[in-house]
Amino acid sequence: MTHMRTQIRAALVARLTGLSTTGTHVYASRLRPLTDSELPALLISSEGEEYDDGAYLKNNRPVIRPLRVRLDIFVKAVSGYEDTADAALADIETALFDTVAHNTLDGLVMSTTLASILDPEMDDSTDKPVVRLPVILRVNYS
Amino acid sequence: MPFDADDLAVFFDPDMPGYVDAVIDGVPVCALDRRKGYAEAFGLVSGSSPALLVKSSEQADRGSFVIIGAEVYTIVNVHSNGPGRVRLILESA
Repeated sequence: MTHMRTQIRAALVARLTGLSTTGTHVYASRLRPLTDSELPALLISSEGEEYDDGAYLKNNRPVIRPLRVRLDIFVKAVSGYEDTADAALADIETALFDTVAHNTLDGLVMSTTLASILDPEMDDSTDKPVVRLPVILRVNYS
Repeated sequence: MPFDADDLAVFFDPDMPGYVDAVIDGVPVCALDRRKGYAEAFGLVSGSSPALLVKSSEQADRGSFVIIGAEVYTIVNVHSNGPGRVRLILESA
């Protein structure tokens, strides 16, 4: 049986593929470096789950499982890189929070919320500046 | 014996590995090509670390345009690189 974490990552890839800024450059659990032709890009990875109340346990499993999912927006450009990252973030917000169906990943999960947006990081050690904008989602599932 | 113009001339001789004819803001210069180094940002974004060695007497400032073959770069930093030489840190334009 495919674990829900795997299903959630797959559903997010499907939901976030084709956005106007990152297009088809959406990768789950990506470890290998991105090339210029794969940018701007959106990387998706699952993080931990923390249960804050044992009373919610049912059959030794929590009823509500809050999964943290990390989205990393990568942009490499001569200029406007942070603006482009913000545009990619706006695309994501629209794609996930515009309707109930999208917010629940077509009924797969209970809800998807924006947990935090971390500090943008910039690096100019390659031939063009690179910015990474990390976005943390909280995905409640059962 | 001090490092002088003759030494520099040997250093930037066309027979030197990496020698390239470059143009900085429209002015031809002799340079040593150091563009090919692989580099990564955050360990997840690949690229190169373009750089060029030129005589420090060349007019090479931040913001100047450099043409090497068909490629155009902008100078984003200028580092001293020993007697009479500077290393130009480039960015793809």
